[in-house]
Amino acid sequence: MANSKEMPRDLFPGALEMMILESLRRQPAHGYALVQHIQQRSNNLLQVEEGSLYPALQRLLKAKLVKAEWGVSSTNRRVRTYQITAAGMRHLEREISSFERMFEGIALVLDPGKAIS
Amino acid sequence: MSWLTRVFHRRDLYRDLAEEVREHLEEKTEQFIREGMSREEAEHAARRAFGNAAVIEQHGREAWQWLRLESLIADAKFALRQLRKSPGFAVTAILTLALGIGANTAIFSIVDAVLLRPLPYKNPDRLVVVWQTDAVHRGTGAWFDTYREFDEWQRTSKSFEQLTALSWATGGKPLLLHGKPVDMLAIPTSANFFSMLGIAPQLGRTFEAGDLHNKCTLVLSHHFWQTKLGAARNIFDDKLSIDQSPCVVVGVMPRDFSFYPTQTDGWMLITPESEFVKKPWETMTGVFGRLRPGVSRAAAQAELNAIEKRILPESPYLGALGAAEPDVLDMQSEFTWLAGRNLRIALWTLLAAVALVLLIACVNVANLLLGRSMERAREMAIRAALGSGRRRLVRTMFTESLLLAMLGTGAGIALAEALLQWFVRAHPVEMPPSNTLNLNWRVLLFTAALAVGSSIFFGLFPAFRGSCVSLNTILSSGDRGVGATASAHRISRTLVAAQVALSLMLLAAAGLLIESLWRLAATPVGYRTDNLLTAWVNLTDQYRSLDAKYEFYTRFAEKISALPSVQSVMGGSSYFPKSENLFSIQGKAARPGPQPSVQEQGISANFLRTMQIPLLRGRDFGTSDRSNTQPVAIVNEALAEKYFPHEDPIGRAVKLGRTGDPYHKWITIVGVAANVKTTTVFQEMGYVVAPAVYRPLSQDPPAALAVIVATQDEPLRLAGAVQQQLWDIDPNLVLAGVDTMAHKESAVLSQPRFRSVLFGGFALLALMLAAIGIYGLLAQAVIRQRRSIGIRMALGASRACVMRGVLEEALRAVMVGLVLGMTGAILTVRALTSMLYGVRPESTAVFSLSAGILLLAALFAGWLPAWRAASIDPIQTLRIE
Repeated sequence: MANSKEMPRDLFPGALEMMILESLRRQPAHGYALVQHIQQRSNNLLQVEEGSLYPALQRLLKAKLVKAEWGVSSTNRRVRTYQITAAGMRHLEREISSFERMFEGIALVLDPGKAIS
Repeated sequence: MSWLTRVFHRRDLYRDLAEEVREHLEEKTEQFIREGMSREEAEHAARRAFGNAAVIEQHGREAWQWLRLESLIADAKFALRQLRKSPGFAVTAILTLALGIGANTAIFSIVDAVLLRPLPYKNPDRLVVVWQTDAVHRGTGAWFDTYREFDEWQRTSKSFEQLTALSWATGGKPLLLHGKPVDMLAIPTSANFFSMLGIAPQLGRTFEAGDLHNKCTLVLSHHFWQTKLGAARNIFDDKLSIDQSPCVVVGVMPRDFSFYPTQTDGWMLITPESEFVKKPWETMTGVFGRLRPGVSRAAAQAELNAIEKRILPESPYLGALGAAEPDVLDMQSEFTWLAGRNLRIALWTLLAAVALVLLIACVNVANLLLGRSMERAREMAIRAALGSGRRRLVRTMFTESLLLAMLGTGAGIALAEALLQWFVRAHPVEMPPSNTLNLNWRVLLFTAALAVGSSIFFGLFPAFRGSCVSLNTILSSGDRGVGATASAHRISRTLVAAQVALSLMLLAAAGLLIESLWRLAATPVGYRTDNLLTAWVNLTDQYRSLDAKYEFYTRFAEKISALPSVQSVMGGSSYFPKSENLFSIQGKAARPGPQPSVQEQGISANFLRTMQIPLLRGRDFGTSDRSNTQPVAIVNEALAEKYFPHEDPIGRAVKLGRTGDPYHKWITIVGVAANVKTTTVFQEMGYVVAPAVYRPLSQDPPAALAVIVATQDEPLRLAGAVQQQLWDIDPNLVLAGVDTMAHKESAVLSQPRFRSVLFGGFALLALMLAAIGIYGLLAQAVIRQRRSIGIRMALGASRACVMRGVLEEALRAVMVGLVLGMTGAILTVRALTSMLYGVRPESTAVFSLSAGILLLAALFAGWLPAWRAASIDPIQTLRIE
């Protein structure tokens, strides 16, 4: 409980969802694999609380941005595999472009020199 | 998946989620085991990495829920369980709220029906009443118009879409139904009356132009048709007659239709044959109209005034109308005024009073909840420790308040419905014709607003405080969190002071109204009121000549006097001096300024004696005063003082009209009687003594005869026998408006009594609630200070000392409340001025009495907790600690 106060679970609302969708675009995965993937890709910079992935997945399921299917993994484990939907793709693209704009804006504010050059 | 299937598949969704989480933890654990941990270590590590699985699952589930609604239901279920666990608290809170909300709803529905909703007629905002008013002293009175004025206005004015005459200046006439007389108040009106209001009948039709050729055409009120005619559908074929002219009933109005006066039994068309048209300057009528769109009342008034100026010179009563001018007034306000001079202000102040009661009730419930939150501080701390967010805690507690409010509102609405039904049935005060009184959606909306408003007021604050728990203090101290509850206690004390202040304001207002009522009721009116049966006999056209009328009276008096237990029979033109008349004195030039006016009453020769009105000088009327002897009069003291200062009025001749008026004779004054106090329509709280002239019945018998029968016992028991005797004389006559003088007297007090009773009831309720508040405050204080009291007693404090300590605490809050309440009362009681009689709004007696009552109630409420504090056994208390 304590560390949830020290470090925000999400960088900003929707960031986690975006990362999940991006991972799923590369390949379908189940929850555990997703967490591992996100942590590795971010070089462990983003210490995502593993469990926080699941409410985000439920929200994406409900919005029909991903779909899920029970199956058996390579390690012979019963897993629920998530796959991005067409709507999920479109959503991700929109999110990324708006994120990039926002990021650009933040960068300009934080480092005005860049804007001039 | 549609939302509907989702609802049903939710269980599956949740199961999937739970399984997924389980699998995740399993996989992670295995991972850790592979990295070399023991199984137990690995499981713990997996859980740590995962986070709070229960909370995460909950968040996951929430994605599928209508979050607010569902957690609200869960909260409501929880709150219901909590309430059931402490029924004493729940019942007290719900009852308190039910009383407050119920009373508010009931009063508001009256205010709504009478003052807020427009009259239930077509284009109510353009409906007006036209009275004559004193042009010099505007607002001091209103009189009927003459039919001549109405007629001219109707024909030539351009301001109105419709203008109609309707008059209650003439009395009722008995209606003969199959040869049997039925007392009926038939109100003469013009053909366009119903079309002006835009109301269709329930049966048949309303008036048409063709009806003007009939001698008598009637539209019946629903009430009369139902109670007197048994709701007969064939009423249109029945043989009816009024005054020997056959009458046709053409329609029956709907049940909820009413117009002033509300006791109207039917409406009778004014025909070219009627008095109205034949003697237009002598017949009085009210004039009602609907303005054209865009025409202001002032413009209409100016037009009517101009028309009146044109026709006035032809009037034989020029003087009577000289000072008067037409006044165009809003119909709804006029109706309210007609029903009760102070009705409007009384209703608004009652609403304010009942709102104060609700405020006090809310404070009580807030205090109860606050006390509860102190008790539950530990529970809250544990829940917070288990991960309940602060908002969630506030919401849980606030839901409990909301639930209380809902239950209280439900009970309150039931109470309001019961109160309204009683009000409609018992009819404690006259109400203007208006919308039907019921709990409609507007009223319920108001109630809902009250419920939400009050639950926010009494609920949110304690909830907020309750959630502000410092975990460490409460959980580690093992005590009940002294710091937190002490501050809550301070707030409780402030709330109690506020209650005391509000109660004092209500008590003072109620005291003023009750004292006024008492003084009004105790004022001697100057005549006998006990054991007197009163009734009207409306003579038919058969008794046209003065002699016939008087002869009827003498026969009637003879027959009734012969009845057992009858002392004597009196007759008159009315029960008290009434009807303003112009007045002139022979040999005295009229003074400049308004023409002097006096009241008049025709009386039988035994009237003054039997009514115990002393004759001060001169002689009483006697059998020698007949229609062919010299016209005589007895005047009252007020008249003698006003018009004959330092002179003897006896022997002087006066006239009830202008000096040159040929229609009235000179009358010689033969006696001076003591004053009687009468009420006037223009002022409710108070009596007037107006200059009055009594005339012998024998010289001026009226067509509507007021009879008074003095009896030895209960007068109403004689009504049947009197009616029988009347039928012996003339089977076509009927006793109308049978009543007793005592009841008439008390009816004068009905409006002041009604509001005094309500105000008194509200004040009592407020007092009770304040006492409960004080009790609660002290009871909690005693529980909280148990330990310190125990220690003090162990150190030798006496029981009296402990009791005093507790009571002092109560008194501090009460004193602050009294000072605040006094200030509030002084600032607000002025609003009551027009409803007071014989007492000033800032009456010290009433104020100190109210404060005294409150203080006593406070001591009474404080005594039990104080006594309990004093009986604390120090050994036991200390042992518990």
